[in-house]
Amino acid sequence: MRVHDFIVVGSGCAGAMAAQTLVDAGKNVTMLDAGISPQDQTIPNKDFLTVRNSEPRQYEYFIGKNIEGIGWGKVGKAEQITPPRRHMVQDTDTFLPVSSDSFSPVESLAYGGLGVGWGIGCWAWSPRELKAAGLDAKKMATAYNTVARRIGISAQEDDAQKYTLGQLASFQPATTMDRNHLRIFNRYQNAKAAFSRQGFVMGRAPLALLTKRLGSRKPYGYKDMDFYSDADKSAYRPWITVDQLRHHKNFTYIGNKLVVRFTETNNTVHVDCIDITTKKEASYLCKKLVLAPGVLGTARIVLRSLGDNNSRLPVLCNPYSYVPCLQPAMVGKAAEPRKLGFAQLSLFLDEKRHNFGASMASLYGYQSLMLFRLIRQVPLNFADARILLQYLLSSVVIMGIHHPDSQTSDKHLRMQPDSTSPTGDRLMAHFALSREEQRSRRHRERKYMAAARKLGLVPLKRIDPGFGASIHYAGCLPFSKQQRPFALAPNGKLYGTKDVYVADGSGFAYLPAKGLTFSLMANAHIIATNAAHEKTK
Amino acid sequence: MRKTLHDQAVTFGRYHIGTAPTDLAVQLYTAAMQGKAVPKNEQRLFNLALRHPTLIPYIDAGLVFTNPHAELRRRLFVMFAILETMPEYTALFLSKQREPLYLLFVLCVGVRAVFRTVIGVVITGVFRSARA
Repeated sequence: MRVHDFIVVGSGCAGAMAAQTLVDAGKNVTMLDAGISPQDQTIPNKDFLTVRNSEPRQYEYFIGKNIEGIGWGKVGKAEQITPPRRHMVQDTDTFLPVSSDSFSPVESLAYGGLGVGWGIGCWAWSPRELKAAGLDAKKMATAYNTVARRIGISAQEDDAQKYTLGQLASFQPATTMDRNHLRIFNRYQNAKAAFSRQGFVMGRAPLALLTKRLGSRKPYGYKDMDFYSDADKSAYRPWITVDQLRHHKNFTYIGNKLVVRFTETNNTVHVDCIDITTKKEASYLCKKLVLAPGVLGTARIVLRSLGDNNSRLPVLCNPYSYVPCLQPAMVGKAAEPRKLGFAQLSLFLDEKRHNFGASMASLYGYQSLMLFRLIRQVPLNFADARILLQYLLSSVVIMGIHHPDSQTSDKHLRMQPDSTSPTGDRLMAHFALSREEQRSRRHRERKYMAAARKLGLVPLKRIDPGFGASIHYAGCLPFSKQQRPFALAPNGKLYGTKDVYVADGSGFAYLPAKGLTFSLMANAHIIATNAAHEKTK
Repeated sequence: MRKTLHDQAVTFGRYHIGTAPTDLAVQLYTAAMQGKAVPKNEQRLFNLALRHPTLIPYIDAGLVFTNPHAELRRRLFVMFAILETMPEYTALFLSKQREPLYLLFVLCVGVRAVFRTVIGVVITGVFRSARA
């Protein structure tokens, strides 16, 4: 059997960055990936309003060919996944079963992983946050810039730049804000001192979105079709990197493969997989293995490979709520032809001003997600609710609030045998906040509601989609300077192995409220660099 | 069943947009609801709504509070979403530039909605009691 030099598991943000770093270092890389691709679908490269007014088959991508994109029942995980992105969660119930009454994670077997649905926010963590996470601030500062040059980030220097950009120097000009957000930002600017006294600071959200050309990728066209298509590849998605790597002679992509476990023997790593189309087993050999299938995927693989049914791993997940708001000054306005669906403003709450432990609210416009996603939240008959919502739609702003997370004994994962599962097991999860964490969350969310009112917004209802809904997971194998089971060395190597590295967020011992994907990619670059330079034993 | 689903699509379409929906909308609704049954304990209210479409706004309003996940509400919601994606009806869904006085109309709609809710809670409550 061929012994591959490097096997990278997963094609998401971490896997793509790790693979690129290894290929750039001259290594031969094989990527094993489940790699479910979207259905063939032609979505016209037009703006949202033109599509709505002219395309007869628009239902295929707005609600699904079989109307599968219409949710009903309790607001749950993956609520925002539109039909063109449904492949992101396809077959996960079969191959990645989870049981929990307190934690509903979203995982992916897609080509590009969870990056398919990433909100593209790129906040750089502060030195204190990085240290708490177990990361080297100096290395991460360099890695942030490397990743930024690869993927293209648009951002702006402003009051919040120590929370958003840190030392990031490589970025393009920020996108143009829509009228709703301009108004909000102006209100903030006019009352900056008052907000600051409360611990708030607001700035532009850095986005992995081009405002200038980068290779074959074009600048953003403000078509407001962000949740459905991106023919210009203006928003970075990890599959863009994997597509490019597949033209490289040092890179081999093997799809349909779900890695389930590894064993190490005689200077090689034996990697066992299941083919997700045939459910047959397959095996590969490599000199070095880099795991990046996502934190929960890595947890499964490591528990199967090194643990037993009694082994428990910690898990971190940002608690998340969202609040639909109305902006009275924008009621009864015509739909905006040039708009973007991504977060435009970030509002940080950091009472101690340490740039550590802050919560973060992201503000989004709401136009292209359609009325039907809102109407079932309105306690009125549909006919009258439609009239009301049509009038109010131009004023809807969504405030999504993330809180930081730290390890406690009440947040953990383990595996349990399950003969009905193709992998023979399922992940058992438990997640609960301590009393202090709950108190802090409630207190901060009340402050955010008050801040929203000062920004000219009327918060309507706080919606808690449950733990796991933030789709930010970390910390199952925390970085440790001392060797211990189920932990990573500072260079990303899994303790107890000779040649197994973990390049996703598994090592982060602390999870700031700022989105983790940018830090994930920077870390993946560092880990891959370490793996490339360490000699195989 | 097919005829019934067709009738439902037309009835629910009229409720939402005031006119019979396009053939495509009817076709999509029929395909989406094919094989899905109305629970036995909801059939009387469901059939009442279909026989007397003028009652739908009231029943819909009442169900928001008495049984928000009722099959009737779900099917009305499905038809709503289908109609929203028909280019013929975007004028009913996309936001529009409105004069300030339009707020008065919206307030009247709000009052009407409350009235419909009160009546609807009574109607749906009666049906729930009868079932019990």
